[in-house]
Amino acid sequence: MKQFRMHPWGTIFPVAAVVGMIGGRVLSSRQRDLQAFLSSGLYLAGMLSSVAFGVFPNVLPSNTRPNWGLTIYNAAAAEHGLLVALCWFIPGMALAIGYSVLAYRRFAGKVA
Amino acid sequence: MLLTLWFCLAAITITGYVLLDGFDLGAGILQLFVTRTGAETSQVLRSIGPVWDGNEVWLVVLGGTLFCAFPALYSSAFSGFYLALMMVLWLLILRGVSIEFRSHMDSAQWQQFWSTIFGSASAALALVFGIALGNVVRGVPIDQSGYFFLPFWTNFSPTGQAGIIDWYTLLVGATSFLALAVHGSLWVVVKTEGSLQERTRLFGAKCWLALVPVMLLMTAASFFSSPT
Repeated sequence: MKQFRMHPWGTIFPVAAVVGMIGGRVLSSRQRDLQAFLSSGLYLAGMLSSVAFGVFPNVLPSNTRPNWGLTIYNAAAAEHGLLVALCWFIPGMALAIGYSVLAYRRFAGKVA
Repeated sequence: MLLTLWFCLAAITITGYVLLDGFDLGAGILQLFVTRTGAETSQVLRSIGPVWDGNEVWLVVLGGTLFCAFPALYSSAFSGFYLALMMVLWLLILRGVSIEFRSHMDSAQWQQFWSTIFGSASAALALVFGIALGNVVRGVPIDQSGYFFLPFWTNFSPTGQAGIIDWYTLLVGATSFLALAVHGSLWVVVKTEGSLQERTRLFGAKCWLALVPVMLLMTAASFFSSPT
């Protein structure tokens, strides 16, 4: 809640979740099925990004002593490692996304 | 800046996993309730067949992301949630085994057995992933050295000596279960036609109606349960 009070722009995430949730239902009832599915994806993405935004910069909060919780500052690897990992992450994810696009396009359409 | 970027990348990876594997978990759940014949179950499984294991790659990417960017989180969480993670691994294995074995014998009972295993494992995974997210929001009893261990449950209260499962994390689990059932239904509606499509649409609408109050309750409870 503190994060949303400090950075009101973050309300865009829960708003996206609500829009996606209602949109999924409305579009499905109008038989616009692909759009309904994508809208459901927007709902899930909105919910998860709301949680991420709400807990930031914590990654594993402590419910006993707040300063013992893990945050991005005390749980991260050294800066050099993060930079090297980023250099590998980008081509790796590009491959994974490329494969996903290929697979979904190859198997598009109704199943018998 | 670099730390924030990695936090965002981890969040994007989790979101990618839930969006993609979420619909095949949902398809697994709905085939327990919607299909009337073995042929219809096969049709639902064919709708996710070429992509479901590719979708699970995003979970591996998430593990890799935490390992390389936030190793302290990786070690604390994998040790603290050990019991839950073992359960997740077994459920993932059961899903893989059941969808593969189901087609190995031309027997109605055999296929029904493995469809039930596939659906039950999918339902349990949807619930467990939600419970895990609930634990992150509620917080864990981590000590100064980053160590904690949580039993499955204690007294079902999110305060004091909480376990992995309490009423709040169960509420998040129920939200996850219903949200993924809706997501999976909408996918199967896209991929099928005829009476199976209509029954799936109706199932998705019922799950959506159940999801709305559960999600509102969970959102309200999150503001009281989160230490942040």
